[in-house]
Amino acid sequence: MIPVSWYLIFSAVLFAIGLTGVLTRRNVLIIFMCVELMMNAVNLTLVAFARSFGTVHFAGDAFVIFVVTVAAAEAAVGLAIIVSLARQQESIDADQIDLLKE
Amino acid sequence: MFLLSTMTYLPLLGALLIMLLPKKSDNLIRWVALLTTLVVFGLSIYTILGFNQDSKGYQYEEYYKDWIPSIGSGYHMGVDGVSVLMVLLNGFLFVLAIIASWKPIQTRVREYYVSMLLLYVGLMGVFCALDFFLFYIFWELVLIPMALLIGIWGGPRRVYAAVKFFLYTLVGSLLMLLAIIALYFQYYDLTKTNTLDIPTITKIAPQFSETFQFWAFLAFALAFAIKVPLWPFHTWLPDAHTEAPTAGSVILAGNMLKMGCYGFIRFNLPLFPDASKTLAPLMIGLAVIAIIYGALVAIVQPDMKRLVAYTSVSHMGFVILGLFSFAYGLRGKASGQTTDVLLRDNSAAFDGAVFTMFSHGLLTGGLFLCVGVIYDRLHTRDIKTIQDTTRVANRMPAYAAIYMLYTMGSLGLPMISGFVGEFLAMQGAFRVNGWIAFGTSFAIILAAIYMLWLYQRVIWGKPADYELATGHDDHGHGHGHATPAAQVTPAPTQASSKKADLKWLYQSIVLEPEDNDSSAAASHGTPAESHTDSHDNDHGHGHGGDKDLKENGAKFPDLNLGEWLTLYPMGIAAVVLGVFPGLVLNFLHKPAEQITAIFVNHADLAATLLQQVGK
Amino acid sequence: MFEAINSIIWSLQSVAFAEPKTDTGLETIKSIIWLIPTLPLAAAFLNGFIALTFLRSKPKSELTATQRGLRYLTSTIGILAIAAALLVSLIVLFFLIGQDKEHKLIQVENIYTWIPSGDFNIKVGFNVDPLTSMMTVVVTTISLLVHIFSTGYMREESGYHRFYTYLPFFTFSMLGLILVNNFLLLYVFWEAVGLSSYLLIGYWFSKKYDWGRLLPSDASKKAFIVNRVGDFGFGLGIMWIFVVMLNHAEGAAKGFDRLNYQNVFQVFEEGSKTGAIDHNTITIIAILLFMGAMGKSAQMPLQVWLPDAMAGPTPVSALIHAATMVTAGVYMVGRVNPIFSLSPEAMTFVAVIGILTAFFGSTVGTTQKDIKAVMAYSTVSQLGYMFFALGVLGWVAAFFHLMTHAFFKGLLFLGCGSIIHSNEETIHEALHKMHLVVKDHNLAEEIEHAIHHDVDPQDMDNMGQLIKKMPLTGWSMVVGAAALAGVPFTAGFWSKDEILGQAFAHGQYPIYIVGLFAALLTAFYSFRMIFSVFFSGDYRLPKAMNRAVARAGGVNAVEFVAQGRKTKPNQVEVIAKESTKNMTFPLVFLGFMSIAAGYVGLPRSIFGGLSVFDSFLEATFEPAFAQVAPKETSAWLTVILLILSGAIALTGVAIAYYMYHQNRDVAPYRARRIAGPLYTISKNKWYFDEAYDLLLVKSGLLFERSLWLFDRYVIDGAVNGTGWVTRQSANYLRKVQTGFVGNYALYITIGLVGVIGLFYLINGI
Repeated sequence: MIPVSWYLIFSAVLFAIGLTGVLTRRNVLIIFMCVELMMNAVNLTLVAFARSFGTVHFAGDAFVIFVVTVAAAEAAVGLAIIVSLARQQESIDADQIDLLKE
Repeated sequence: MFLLSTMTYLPLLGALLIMLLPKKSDNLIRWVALLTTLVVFGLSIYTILGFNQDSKGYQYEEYYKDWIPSIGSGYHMGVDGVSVLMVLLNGFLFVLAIIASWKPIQTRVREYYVSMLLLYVGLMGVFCALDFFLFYIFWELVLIPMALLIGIWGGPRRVYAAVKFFLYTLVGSLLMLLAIIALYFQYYDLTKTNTLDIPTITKIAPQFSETFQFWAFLAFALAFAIKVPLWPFHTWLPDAHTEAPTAGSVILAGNMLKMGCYGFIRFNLPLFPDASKTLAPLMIGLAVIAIIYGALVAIVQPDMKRLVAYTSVSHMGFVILGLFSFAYGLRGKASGQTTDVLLRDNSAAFDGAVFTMFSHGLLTGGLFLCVGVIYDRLHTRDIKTIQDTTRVANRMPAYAAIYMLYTMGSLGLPMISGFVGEFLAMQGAFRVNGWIAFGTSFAIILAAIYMLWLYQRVIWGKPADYELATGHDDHGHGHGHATPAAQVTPAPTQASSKKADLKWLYQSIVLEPEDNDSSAAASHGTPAESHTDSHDNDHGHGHGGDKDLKENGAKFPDLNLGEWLTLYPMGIAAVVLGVFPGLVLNFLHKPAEQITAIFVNHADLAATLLQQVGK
Repeated sequence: MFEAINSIIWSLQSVAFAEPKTDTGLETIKSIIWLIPTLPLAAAFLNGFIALTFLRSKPKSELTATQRGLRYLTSTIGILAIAAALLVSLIVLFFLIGQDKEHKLIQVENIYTWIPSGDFNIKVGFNVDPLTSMMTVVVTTISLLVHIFSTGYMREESGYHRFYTYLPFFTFSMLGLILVNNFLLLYVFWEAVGLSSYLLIGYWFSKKYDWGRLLPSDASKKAFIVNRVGDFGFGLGIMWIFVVMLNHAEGAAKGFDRLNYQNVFQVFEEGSKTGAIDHNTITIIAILLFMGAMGKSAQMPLQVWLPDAMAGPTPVSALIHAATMVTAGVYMVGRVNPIFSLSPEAMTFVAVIGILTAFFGSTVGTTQKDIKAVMAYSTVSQLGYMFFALGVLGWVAAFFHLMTHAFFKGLLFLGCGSIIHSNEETIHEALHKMHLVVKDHNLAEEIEHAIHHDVDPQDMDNMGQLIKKMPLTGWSMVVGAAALAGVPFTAGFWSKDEILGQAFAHGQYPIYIVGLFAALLTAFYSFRMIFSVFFSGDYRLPKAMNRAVARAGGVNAVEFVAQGRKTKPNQVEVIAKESTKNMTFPLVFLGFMSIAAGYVGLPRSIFGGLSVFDSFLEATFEPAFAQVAPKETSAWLTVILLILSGAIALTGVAIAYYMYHQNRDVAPYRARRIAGPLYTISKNKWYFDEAYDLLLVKSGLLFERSLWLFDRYVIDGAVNGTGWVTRQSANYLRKVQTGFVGNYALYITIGLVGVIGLFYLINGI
């Protein structure tokens, strides 16, 4: 069996890639995809832990399902926001959008 | 059975009803509000009539233990001798406040009365709640409608005043919240059970450590001192009063300031007996400063309401003085242990404090109503402007008479309620130390100065003719009687600085007539006519036949029905209490005894502990 | 004569009370005492109701017939109520006269508990002893006469009904002050008379010009505030008494009234005897209480309010500021004699203040031109007499003088009122005629204005020869002035001599000499007034009016001449008239009393038992006499002293006669030149007002204004400063919020790394 640490390292790398993407990319769409990536990295961790420790309660698996659901909802809302942003601002460049500051 | 809850939530019902009423039905809204307050007032009278003065503890209790079981909070309402008085004062003042806003409030009527009734809910709840959670909800509930009342229906600087009022009192309540949470955990540490029930916590209060008492006392005291307000936390009060609408000022002075005093009585004294004794000198000192300082600053105020607000600072000082003279007297007192004979039973000081709370509600409330009467006619509260505009005493004798009553009451004339409380508090302080009474006694001189000077300027007018002010209107023009009040007295929208007011006065009085020539001629002709007038009418010794009386009287009508109904009942109540203070004092014997008992138990406990250590 | 009076008194008493000592009599008396203060109170309420509901502040000419009827109804109600109160007081007085010495104290206790609060219990009750009874009779008598007098004096006032609301209210307060049995209630009524005094001084609040005198609106305020300075001490004294009572009446039952006179006196007497109560404590308490008396009775240095209080209507000056209210301080010291007599130091203090004030008043009185000011300073001075009489332990003498003074000073003030009223009517009518003579309307207005401005109807320089025009007023005032001066065989002679005799008997020779000197000045200024007003030369009012005419530029248009001197058509006769009967009747009655009242208290060492006043009042001062037995000068010494003080009085009168009757145009000015700075000091009232204005009023206002600045900029500055700091720091901090999502993500990452790093840093890797 593959030790749990492999999964963890893998998910850490995945997470780091996602994070770098969020921090460095300007296209909101890509940032959004990177966020999804980070979430999946976490999901992976959860599943890995669930597999190695939590055989009884399925808490980790349940949580993953939860996160996936939330991610789907988030994707829907997020994409909607991006679409309306694109319509309103005619740009999806994160550096151009500072409406929060107002 | 559910008397207290009924009283508390009935206004809420009224507020809901008002919200459902159609938009344009201002009068209907007023009547609904009035009826609601009248019913609650009736209930509060019923409550106080059914109250047993000779039984200890709380009455009309409502207790549902499992309201919020996870934090041990129950729905607990009940009144003792002190709070039942405050409930009655609430009931009385709110009826008057609703009547007093009948005419002056013409904008956003619905919202106004909803805020008023919500405020009522909060105030009733504060005095009835016997659970910290419930109490805190009501305590904070009071803030919002009051801030709205000031911020929406207030004077020119209303937003500033409302924000200041809100933030300042909120800061205090936050510390109180902290202290409540600390109390909760202390209780848990001592008993391993959760509760927020005030009487339950009070029972084990003597076991709290002295350090805890000290800090918790300070946290509570800060919240209450801001509310009272005690020097040096008083500066929100003049601003809030000055900007609030008349009825708002009445409630603010009459009831809301009492929340702070009530807090001291209900929490600080019984919960922290050690700290109360240790910190009594500090509180007494602050009270003495407040009494003298408030009076001194009041003397030179140019704005009527601001002046009355500073007198409130002075009067509320007497409450704190009385309370902590009482607490000081309980110093080191165990049952069977002899203490200084003077301080063995200083409950008179306590009685004086609570009596001052009650009578201050009547007298200062009355003074604010009086200011409102002038304000409705002149749209200014600047003393100098009023003095220069008209001789109120001649135009409005009924008003001048009742104003005199409030003036005298406020400066502590015996047989009006103000005296009894102040004297009891002062003699209580004398027992602690003669010099304290010596210091506070200056207030009786200062009170005479500020009140009488105010009365002289506002009611008796200036020592000169008012020819200019009124002469041109009537002489030769003939449109004087038809001039509506609004034309002569437009509301000054600018800040009520003296300059602006004088400018407004100048405009309204001198520049109004179409042609300056004829006004000059008319004013030249004035002495002739008026002189003969004063000859025929009044050639007595006073030479007091004021020219403006006949001509301009219509613009300054004497009290209307609403004002009669507010000013006179309140004045009569103040006199009745002054002559029969026992009506109120008899309610206070048991609460005073109860607090004394807590202190005694506590001292007993300490004594036994000491004995055990000795063994 | 005195025998006659004596027998009259005895017979009256035997008629009224066939069996004076039965219990039923006592019960009856007890059951009617409450009527004495309550009747005037009811009248005040009724009149106040009528005034506010029906009459408002309309001038007389605008009232309907019904309203006029109501207007007169108010005065009728007042008079009837006071008359009834007088009747009851007389019944009580005669009842007391008939009692033994031991039974001369009627106590009506515990009508209800006013303040029930822990160990602080105040029970309302009455305490009637000879002193009380004498005072109630004096007060109701003078009050009744003033009520009657005012129906004439205030006839034209638009606030007639207001006046008749205040006046019974004052009477109520004063009677309450006298009758109550408790220190705190004494304080209560002490303040209540202060209130009515305030209201009545400020009666003409809308007056704009008063010939340079302080205006009523200011004067009333001043009176109240200065009185409050006295009450400051009074209140502290009462609190101290309470504290002493707590210490020394420990085992008392619940509800024990610790401020009841009898309880307090008992504890103090015992405590002082056993030494349980510190002697200094008693002295300080007595002096604190006396502070109240200094305020109310206008003793130095709190005398400043009384002369200005003359801004009120003259009947008010007569009733409140001469005869009754200002004697409240004397009454209080007499009432509290069991405490005061325990402390010789306090008594010395009282005596010194008294003699200083007596001297002060008499010096200032000699130079005032305003007829009411003369009387006011005379009152100050005579009150000083009463106080130093108390101070030298001449208890009864002080109250004898209080009574006679009430009569003759009431008379003098009402006489002044009659003169002023007449002067005003005279000017009014002359001006009316002037308007017919002077055709130019504007000029007539100017003249009227000038006369109203210049011709002060109270200035003695504008008077003279009035005796012919106003004989009743004149002659009764001569009697009053004689009594004030102490001319032999008037009431004032007997009472003032008794005071001086007491000072002599108790060995207070310096006080005696100063008192004698003040008596000389008193005689001088009182007859200075009489001669300038009623005799000397000619009627000066027309001259004064002509001067005003000249100033207005109308010399040729009109000339005012005295009655019967009119020869040219442009001349206007100035006709002074005697006042109406309702005004002269009180004067004549008081004139009679100013002589007769002296014969109840003839010097005992000569006339023995005839001095009914002494023997009557002795019961009240029993505690004081127990400390120091009453002393009297021997018969022959008394006679010498009587002759001496009579001679002094007559000397004063003679000087006044020389200066103001024979040489009125020259002598006063010469005397002024000789006196130099003394004249200036006296004329300016020793500069008390100026000093207070500078030291207390001006600097006080400065202090208060700076305190307000402190409030606004320091205390409120701290509050607003907190808000400002919060806002400023927020202003800086908000720059972190760029609004770019990327930045926020970066912060989150940094935070995450920081937290994880911290976790490992703490827990170790």
